[in-house]
Amino acid sequence: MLTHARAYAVIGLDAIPIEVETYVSEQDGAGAFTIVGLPDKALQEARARIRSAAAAAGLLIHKAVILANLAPAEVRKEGAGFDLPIALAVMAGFGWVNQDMLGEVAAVGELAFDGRLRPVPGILSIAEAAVRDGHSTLLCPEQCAHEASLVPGCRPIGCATLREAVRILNGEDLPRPVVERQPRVAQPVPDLVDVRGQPSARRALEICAAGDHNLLLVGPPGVGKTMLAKRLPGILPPLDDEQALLATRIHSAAGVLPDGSGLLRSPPFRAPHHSATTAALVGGGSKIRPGEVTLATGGVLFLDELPEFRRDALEALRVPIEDGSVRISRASGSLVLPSRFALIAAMNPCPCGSPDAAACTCSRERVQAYQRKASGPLLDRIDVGVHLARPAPEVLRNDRPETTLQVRERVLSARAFQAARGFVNGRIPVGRLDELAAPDEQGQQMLDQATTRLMLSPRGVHRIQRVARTIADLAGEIEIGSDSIAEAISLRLGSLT
Amino acid sequence: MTVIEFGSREYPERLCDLANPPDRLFVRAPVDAERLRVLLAPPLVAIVGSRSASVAGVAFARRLAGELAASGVGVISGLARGIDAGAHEGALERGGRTVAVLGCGIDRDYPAATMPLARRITSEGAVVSEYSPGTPPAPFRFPERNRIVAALADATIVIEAAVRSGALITARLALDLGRDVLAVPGAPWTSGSGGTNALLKDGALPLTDIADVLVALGIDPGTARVGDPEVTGPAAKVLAALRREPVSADVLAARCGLTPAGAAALIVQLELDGIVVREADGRLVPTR
Repeated sequence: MLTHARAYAVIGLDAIPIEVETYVSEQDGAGAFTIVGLPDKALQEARARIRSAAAAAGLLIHKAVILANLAPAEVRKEGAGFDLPIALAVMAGFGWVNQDMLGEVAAVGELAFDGRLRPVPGILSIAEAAVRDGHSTLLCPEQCAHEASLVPGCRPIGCATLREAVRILNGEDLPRPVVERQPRVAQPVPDLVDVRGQPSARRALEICAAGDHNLLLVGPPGVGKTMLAKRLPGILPPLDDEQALLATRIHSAAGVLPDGSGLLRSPPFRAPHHSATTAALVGGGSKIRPGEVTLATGGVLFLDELPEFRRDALEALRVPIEDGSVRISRASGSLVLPSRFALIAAMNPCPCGSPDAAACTCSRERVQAYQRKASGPLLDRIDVGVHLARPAPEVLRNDRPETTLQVRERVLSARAFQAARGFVNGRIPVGRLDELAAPDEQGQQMLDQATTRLMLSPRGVHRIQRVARTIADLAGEIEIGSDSIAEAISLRLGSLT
Repeated sequence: MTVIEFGSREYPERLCDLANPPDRLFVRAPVDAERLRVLLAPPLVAIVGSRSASVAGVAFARRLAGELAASGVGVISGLARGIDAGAHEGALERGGRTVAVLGCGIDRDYPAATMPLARRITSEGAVVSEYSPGTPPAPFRFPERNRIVAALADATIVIEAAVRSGALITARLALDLGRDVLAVPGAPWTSGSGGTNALLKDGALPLTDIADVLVALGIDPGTARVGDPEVTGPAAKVLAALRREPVSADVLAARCGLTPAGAAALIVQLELDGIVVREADGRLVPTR
């Protein structure tokens, strides 16, 4: 007997519908179970899980001949999320599940040998696709029900076991209400007030948060580069509804959404290790998975020890930074993922990382090679640079750090000016700069002087204009005066060396 | 390429003061003998110093060379990075005469760090060497080359040099030839002042102002003053603090009671005017 179930395959951030067709014959008695339609290894092994889970539910299927086909046949299907739809279709073939009811729902979930359902990644993408296709009811593991319920129009039915799913489809049980899962621990974002003795670096961080500028921190180990970077998400504006849904979908598809976190409202912070591969950074791999640039969307990508990253990995970052999106091409197809984030890179002044320039043991050539490695592909993309030194006692004494909340107030009001103009300052197109970020007369004079003296490229001048616009916005000034230009130049100087 | 043989009419007379004058001079095209004679005409000074000089030291070399060039004084040096490069650049910036003497064949791109500068000097000044084309750079050739630098100049100026350094060799050779040597004094605790202070103890002329050079060359300094941009207001306070002690921007802001933004604005203006430079470690150093 032929039966059907509706499943979804997650590809990148999207899910596409997969029709599960099964043929069950109890007469043949040879006990063969075959899955066709480009299944991967995990999906092949679904046969063992389904047999065992069915047995746990009191239904023996191991003597029957079972064929399962996943259509369309040319799409690669990966992972254990197909366990539940295949199991339900098989059981419909035995007449244990109402095929009419099964035809009304979409199903996803991994089976354990004892019949329990295990959560799978990508629920949000699947729920969105299911609603789009007119399947508002999604049968899923109970742990995933809350995540699916974030999608408007989706009615998830969370089940603990295969047996429960069967009983609900047959009308023997009522679906249980979706329980909002409590986040295990709400991680507090560390506060900017902790960073003492680095007033200019804090100021640079604020400017970057206010205008979406990329930041380079240069300084010996232990001066607070990582501390600063970790505090950037706190002063960034919280994600709006659309951004939050996107960020949650990305994390769900990558399988890194913390259990029960609900919609991600705070900007993500991603800090890949410098040994990360190109695929890990920009996405891809044999399975197409979102990379760090996509996971950081709406938040912060922090590259500590910038020159230690692999050259090809840094090269691969250029396009995602410039375009705000990344195209991943594989044999199985190509897709475009978002990659819009604030970049913070950090590096030591020299490879030995000695805390003091006087104690440095690096040769000049080594220092140059080290700095060149960072500068080649990325420095061009960085608007703001600061040098951090070990704070002098008199700076520590006089420093009165502001809290994250105080700084965020200013960032939000600066962002409001930008929203009114239609562009975040860091992304004002070159063609609109003269209209949206033109300095006043004195500012222009200073910019001209800097252009000649520092031999700035046109791109360098544009970067200064954008940063100066942000500085003026932070001060609530409509005109970009010479003070704003001057500060933007000094932040540019920091990224040149 | 032009080759000037010892004994020919174009051969620079001053080289004959040397005990071992070079047999011939190779001059990189397009400069010919006539042009070289103009470039080497007095008054001409050599400016030499450390390759790993401070940013402030290089800035001083650049400014001094520029002001000398504006007073009609040519600048000769060795095209090394640091002080040498600063001196050549300063002279070129003000449209002055400058000649680079290499320690290898004139067709070699050495040192790599100053290649762009070498190209500029080739077209606007002159690049010369006593070594035939193709000769690779070697440690023993640089002191040998220094005797030419010392001999061609009326006076040799040393800015930042360690006690054992090529710049000091040039200075000693100049003294042997009876030419004036001027040295920029430095605080004893700074790394680049050992050599110059040693020269001063041995009787070199202290150099703290362009007038010192002009007097040594017999030029009336009264006509050659170059006006500094006037520093007033809050910038003057910042500059005064940095003259007491060069410090980082954060320390400066703390000392002057400024916000990071306010300090940055003042510092940048001083940097653009060339009054303050930023060392690699972030300290801000006044250049005058």
